[in-house]
Amino acid sequence: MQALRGVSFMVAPAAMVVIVGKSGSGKTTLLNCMGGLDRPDSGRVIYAGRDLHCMPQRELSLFLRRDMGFVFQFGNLLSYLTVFENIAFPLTLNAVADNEKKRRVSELLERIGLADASRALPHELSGGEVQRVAVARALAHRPKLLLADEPTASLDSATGRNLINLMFAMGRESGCTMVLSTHDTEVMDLADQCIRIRDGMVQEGEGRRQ
Amino acid sequence: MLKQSGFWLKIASLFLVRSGRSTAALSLMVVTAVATLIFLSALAVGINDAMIRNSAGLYGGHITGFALPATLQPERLAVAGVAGIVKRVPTAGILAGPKHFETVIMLGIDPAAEQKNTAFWKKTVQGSFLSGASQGVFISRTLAEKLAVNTGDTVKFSPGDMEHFKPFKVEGIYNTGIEQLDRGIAFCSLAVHPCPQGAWSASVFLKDGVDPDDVLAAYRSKLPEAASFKSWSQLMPDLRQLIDLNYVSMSMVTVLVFGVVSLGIACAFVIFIMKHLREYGIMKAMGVTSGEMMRLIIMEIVLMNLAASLAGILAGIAAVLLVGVTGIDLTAFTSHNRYFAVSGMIYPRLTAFSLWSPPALALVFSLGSAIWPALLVARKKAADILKTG
Repeated sequence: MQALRGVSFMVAPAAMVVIVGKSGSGKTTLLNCMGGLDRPDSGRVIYAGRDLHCMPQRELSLFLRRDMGFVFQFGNLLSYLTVFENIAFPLTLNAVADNEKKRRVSELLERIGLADASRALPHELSGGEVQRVAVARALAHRPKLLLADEPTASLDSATGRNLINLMFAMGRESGCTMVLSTHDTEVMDLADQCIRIRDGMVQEGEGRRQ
Repeated sequence: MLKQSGFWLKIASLFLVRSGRSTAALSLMVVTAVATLIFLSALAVGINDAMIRNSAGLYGGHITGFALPATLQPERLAVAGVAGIVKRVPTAGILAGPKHFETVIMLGIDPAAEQKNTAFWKKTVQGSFLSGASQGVFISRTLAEKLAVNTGDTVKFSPGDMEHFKPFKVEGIYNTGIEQLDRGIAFCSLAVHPCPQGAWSASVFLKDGVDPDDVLAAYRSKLPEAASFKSWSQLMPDLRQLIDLNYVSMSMVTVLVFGVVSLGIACAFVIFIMKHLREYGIMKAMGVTSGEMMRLIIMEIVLMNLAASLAGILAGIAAVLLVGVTGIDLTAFTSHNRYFAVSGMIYPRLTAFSLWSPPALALVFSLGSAIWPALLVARKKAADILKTG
């Protein structure tokens, strides 16, 4: 069975895109393909003129660490690293100097309101805090593209809305393109572009604010 | 590159330290295996030591010199590493009792030197060992039975001509259980020996840990009679083989035991890595390359092994030192064995081999057992890991 069929769309640089669809509609698979984590059986994912899936594995990994940021459904922080170390991880991968790394992580911690929890381990945080750290980590190395797969799925609606606002605000500040999947239709109001997906196919009238 | 290696080393260390119980449970297997094998290896060395100590210490020494000229002074044999020298002057002749006689080698000895360096005098079963210049003789139980004499009886010795017999009182009777010592030999003090100035034989006793070959090399460089000296391994090739066999079998046991233990370690490693599979998937999604992933997993395993092996080495050393003080009494299993003629006490001893081989094996087997999960993590797509992890 094909998870995605005939999906085709473009995303403009620095756009805020929301992919809306029910559970099992193919949102995660679509995001994974867009982010180079999964390989489509056919078709292409073109990023800045290059087909991601034609890249050698090492080059794809280096592309991911440099240009891409991910926020997963359940945060997916590295359990054995503190909040500070989790946010600093992509910066170290990108060989950012120590002073600059500390400055950026401290800024992000202030921004997400967790400056006091920098030494906490993920299991010591609430669900909302974990997702805020995940957003900070995904944006720490200033990626060109941020992919977020139902980041509010594990949160109550108020916390979820706060997280979306924070993510969109931080995304706009850093000028990165954001693609977010959700089944929360209210989020569509915040997006520049909305893609509805059902049974692996993009529905007609995909653009809301194109 | 170095900075990146430092980063992965830090990540691996944090992973192990903060994975707490999982790391401890896995480490415990390595600690136990390394400590056990160090102890077993030290025990094997201790058994070999005991066989050498018993065989050399009973009578012959670590080096024996034969038919040495009377002009050679025993003091000249005292080179570096030598703990003691025992001079014996052999004379073939007839030892006659009241009714029977036997051909024997009468050995003129210094009783004090024998008591200081050898243990065969401890095998006295009747009467007492020779002392000073007494006109006594010390004979085996077998010889006493053949001559039909007992302690206190008088025997006569003639150095071959059957005419000039010299009387000796039987002062002690011994039994070593070793044929060469229990047949055809009698001992008397050098002071009363019929031919004290004849050719002599030497038993050279070495300090602990001294290689007989080193002493033989020293003899070759300073003594024209060096060819007359043989080490215990040349005189007792059966014991040499037994010791080599013991080492080989112990090495095989070590490898086999670790092979079996490694199955447990391998399973634990696979579970350990699989348990954290999702986190490896997250790292892949963040752009960690397959090579870096392999490096991280190998670092985690090497670090864990180094820490666990260090603890295992310390535990093994502690066990060896503890038992090394008291010893293990295996007399019940060795009392009829000629290589344990003096004592069945075993003192485990550490050697460089027994210290480095178990941790090295632990590392090799652990790395081997980590190959599959490491390859799995490196090859699997991040999306698949995140879906199933």
